[in-house]
Amino acid sequence: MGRVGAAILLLFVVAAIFAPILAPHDPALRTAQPFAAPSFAHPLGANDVGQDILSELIFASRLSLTVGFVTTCLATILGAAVGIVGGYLRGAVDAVLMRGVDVILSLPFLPLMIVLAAFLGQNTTNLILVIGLLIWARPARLIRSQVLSVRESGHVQAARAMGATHGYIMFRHVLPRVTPLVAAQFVRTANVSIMLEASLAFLGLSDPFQKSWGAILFYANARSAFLADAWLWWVLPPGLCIAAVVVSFAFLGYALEERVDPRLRSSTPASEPSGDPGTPMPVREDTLR
Amino acid sequence: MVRGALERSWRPVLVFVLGLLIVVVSSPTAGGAQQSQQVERLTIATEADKGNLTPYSFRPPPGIHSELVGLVYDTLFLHPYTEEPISWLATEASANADATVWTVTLRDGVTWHDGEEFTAEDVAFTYDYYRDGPPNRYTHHASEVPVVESAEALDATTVEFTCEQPCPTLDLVTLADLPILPQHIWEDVEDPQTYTDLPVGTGPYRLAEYVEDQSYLFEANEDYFLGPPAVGEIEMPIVPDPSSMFLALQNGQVDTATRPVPPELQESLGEARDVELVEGKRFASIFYRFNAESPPLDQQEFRRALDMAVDRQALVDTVLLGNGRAGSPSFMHPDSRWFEPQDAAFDPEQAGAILDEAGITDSDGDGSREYEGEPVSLSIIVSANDPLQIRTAELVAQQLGEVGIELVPESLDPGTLSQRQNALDFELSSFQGVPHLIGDPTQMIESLESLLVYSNPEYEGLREEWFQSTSVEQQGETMRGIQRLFVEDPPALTLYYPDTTYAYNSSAYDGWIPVEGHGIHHKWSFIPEAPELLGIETVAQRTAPPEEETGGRTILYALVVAGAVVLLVLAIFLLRRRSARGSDEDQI
Amino acid sequence: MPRPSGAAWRRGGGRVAQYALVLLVAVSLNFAIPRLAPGTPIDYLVPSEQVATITPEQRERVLAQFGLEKPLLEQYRLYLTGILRGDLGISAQQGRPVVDMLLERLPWTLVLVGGAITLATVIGGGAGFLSAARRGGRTEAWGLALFMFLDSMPPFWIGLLLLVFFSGYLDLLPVFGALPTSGAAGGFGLTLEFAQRLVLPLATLTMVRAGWLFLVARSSLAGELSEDYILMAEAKGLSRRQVVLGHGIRNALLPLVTAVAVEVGTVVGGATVVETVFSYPGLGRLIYESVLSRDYAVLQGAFLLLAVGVILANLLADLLYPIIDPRVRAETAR
Repeated sequence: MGRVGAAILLLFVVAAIFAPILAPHDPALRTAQPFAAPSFAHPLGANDVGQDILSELIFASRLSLTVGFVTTCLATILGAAVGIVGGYLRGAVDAVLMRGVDVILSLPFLPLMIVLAAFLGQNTTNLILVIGLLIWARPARLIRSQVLSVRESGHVQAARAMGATHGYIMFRHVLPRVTPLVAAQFVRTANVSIMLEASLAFLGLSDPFQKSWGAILFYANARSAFLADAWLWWVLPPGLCIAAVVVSFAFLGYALEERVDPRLRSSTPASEPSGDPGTPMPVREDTLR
Repeated sequence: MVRGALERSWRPVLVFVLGLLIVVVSSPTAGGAQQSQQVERLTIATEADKGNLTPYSFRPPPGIHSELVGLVYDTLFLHPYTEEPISWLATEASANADATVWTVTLRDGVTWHDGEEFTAEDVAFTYDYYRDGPPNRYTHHASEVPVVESAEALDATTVEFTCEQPCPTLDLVTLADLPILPQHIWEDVEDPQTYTDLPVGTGPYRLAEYVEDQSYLFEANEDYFLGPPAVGEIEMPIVPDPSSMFLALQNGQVDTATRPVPPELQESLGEARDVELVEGKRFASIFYRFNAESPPLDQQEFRRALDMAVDRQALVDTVLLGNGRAGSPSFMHPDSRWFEPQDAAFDPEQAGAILDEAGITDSDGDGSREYEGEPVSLSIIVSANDPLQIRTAELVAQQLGEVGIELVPESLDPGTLSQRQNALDFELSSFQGVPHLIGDPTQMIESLESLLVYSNPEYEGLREEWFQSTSVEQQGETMRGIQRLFVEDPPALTLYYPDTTYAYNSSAYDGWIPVEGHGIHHKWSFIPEAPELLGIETVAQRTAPPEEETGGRTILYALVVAGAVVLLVLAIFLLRRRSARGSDEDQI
Repeated sequence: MPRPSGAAWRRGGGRVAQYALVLLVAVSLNFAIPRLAPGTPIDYLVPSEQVATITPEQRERVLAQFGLEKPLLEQYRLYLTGILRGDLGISAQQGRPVVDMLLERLPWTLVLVGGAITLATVIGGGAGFLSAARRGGRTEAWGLALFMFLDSMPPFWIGLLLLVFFSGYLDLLPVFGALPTSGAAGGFGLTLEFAQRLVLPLATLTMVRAGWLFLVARSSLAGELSEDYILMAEAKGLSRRQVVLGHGIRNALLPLVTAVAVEVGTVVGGATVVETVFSYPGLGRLIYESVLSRDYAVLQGAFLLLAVGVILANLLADLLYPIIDPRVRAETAR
């Protein structure tokens, strides 16, 4: 599954990088009749001013992927850090961090984005900043909740009893245990950020002069493509592209999860030896009680 | 025996023929007065919530407001874009020699929705209220253009208006545009903007229910002075999403939509069952405002060159798919009686020449001109909600690029756009003209100062002339002069006039009439006498001329009856002959 | 389960105090943020053609109706004291008390959003647990793929496609609104009409939210089931079902509960797009339009409502943690 995900993602990344070569036309040029149906020269037809949709789609991958990737990295790193630190250290640190998370989570995202778009201007950098700095809150809370459990587990307690520092424990014991959740969160965040970009573009809040999949859908909806046959070639492809990229992130996440924690491998229950004999069952103090 | 059989057989035949006659005669006559159709309920989808429909419940575009207000309130004369004033709440009006004092006679026997009598006091009160109170879309008629110094009720049905300066179009425009408010309610209202009760007017409909952001429900005013309206109940759900709105129309959930049909849907919508399209003649325009204080826009030559560098027809063809007309510097809408045709010259070479002469040249050969050492780069702000405006801006940017001027479009949310427009914080701004702005001169004259910040010494002189004109003809002449001036020094770049095509379900209601400046969704589509008063045909009258149809039917009836009679006579004759011949033919 | 001790109550009290502080900060931010954006309600109250002709006195009068002519600190003070009194001010657009407007919209939103979260939790969470309990095999892979795919489709895209398909092609369901505009039969008839209009937005919102809950439930339970105590329980002779239901899910609930709490907080804003597509009269759409028209009072009130909702949900989740997972108890014991 991971291979499939990686393959799809790679396909899109390649398309984004080599867009000028792959796209049959320059999407900024009007090369067809407005609302033209698909033809040999324009396999996906033309948009409302006569630009080739296939070329638009290919070029749009650049913006959508960039926004998705950057915001996701930003948010996941920040979220994991806050979640682990807060969940592990508890007490005042946790309280402050989590209350900060609460404040951010209580701010309605879309209105905030509208306000910020109005204040800062509708361009891509602001979009990335605002999305990234707001969506870390969710992963933080979730990761923290798992860290709460992990911190009580046997081997963490053992490590503390043996005198390990907080930092060491957080990095060497807690982090590996929460990595599956972090991976799930990475996937989720990529999902959310790409979707947010699309939703914001659809509502007309991002820069309509830039080509992104959300912007293509904005024009498609605004020019009534959903009511005409054009939905087939103008609406379906961008939506499918978004879905494909997000799904590929998901598959990757899934594979990542398996790789990191061999106990989660999709094999038959533990009574059969796992495929990797190099991972011994750790001895745990609590089983001796 | 046979004879008996034959004798018996003519009875059923007779019965049959008689039956045929009865059926034919009793079938309803078709054609005739289409407008006397009585419809119980109509569903009209509208695109935005416009508040509780008092004249003060303004909400920003899109959506229609004044036509909905017009369902509930009446004006003194029919509407402001007619050739001659058509009496409505007022029956006649006459002015003194220099058109500063008008005497208006009101209709008798009109009542408000709450039963109170409508009198001249209400009219006098209304004009004072508009003049002295907070502004709304109508108040400039009393407070600026013209200034109605006083409105006095001479008796129960006579009002005398006095204007500060000659106001020859008082009956044609002013009295035809302002909705009359009931004094007994509004004299206690301190802040009109917080008045949230349902409105009380004299109009053909009463607003029975208003659910914020969801729907309106209108009920017919059976005691309306022109008789009960043709539709008993009108419900108006508010549907902001255009796709949903037209989808609902297609599958019959609504009977019509107040949003004009976008160019790309006209073909497919027109093919849907029972859905018809009609051109509404609502005055629509898109133009670009200049900020004439921001260089190089402060130079008249530069503005003129911009005007010439834009290929308006290409915009109409690409963005509107041909459904519209290229803009003209005249500023008035081509369908308005005040319009003075001027050719918008599209001449990029000439534009380039003008720029060269003005010293704005491309000195470093990089394709863009410089002004005072800096490359010329203008920004234009457009509404992020309107893709047509966005696309237009992109195309205009390409066109201007070809004469070496860079145009950078910037899209803003409607709130920010509004604020920046009002604060004059822009270089160019896309603006959608409301019908009133380009339909009659009063709003235009007022807006030339407030909205368009137009200053031109020659215009000042013409404006003074306009204010001193004592007759409609004189004002018309001055307006034509002003529009000729606009060719040399345009107050704004008028890009195009989009067609305003509306769709309706013809099997639900077909009494719609397109009234210039108002579209089809207004009270006159529901008042049976209105088409005749206005001299406009309803959509039903256009599609099927009733006279021929009635004629056809009559002939058909005549033929059937004649045929039946002939058959009857023939049958009797034949039977008689058979019985006369007796049993000869029986022996076969 | 032992009853909470006195110390636990104090901790609970301290927790509530913390949340009160969060609420205060959130509320203050909600006051400030809308005012950051350029523009004032007056730009929306008067047609553009007229704005430049408003005299300063008239401008003052209009602003004064909504208390906007006062200095900022004064407005802030009035805002805070107003909240305590239950008065959220008057809407600049509607001229009505904000409280009335919010109360009108709230039921619609609650039904849509509450229904969607419930369905998403039951379907998504349930499927997630099922999938984790039965790792391996084709059903798990297909289920996973299905939910992942559902999770990855943009909500407005699905919504509009559903609308075109069910209302357009099939002509099965109404296109817009929450209730028919004029008197359908009361009682059952009305409920039926409402249900018809609720189906598509509810389905869209559920589909969009279920995928994530599936993933969280699945990864969380999978993690728990790999723990040694599960192995121990099985070795003791408990059936797989008892183990999973009794032990595994109990402990795996924590992240799921957190996820649901977070969902509750963010779903109203996220439902905005769905509400717009289906012309559904909910809070999300009200907020969107109030932002556009700079209707500060409505925004403040709505934000407050959302903030309270989020904080309540989180508080509840926090208080539930120790009950669900006893190991998470005494936090200050270290």
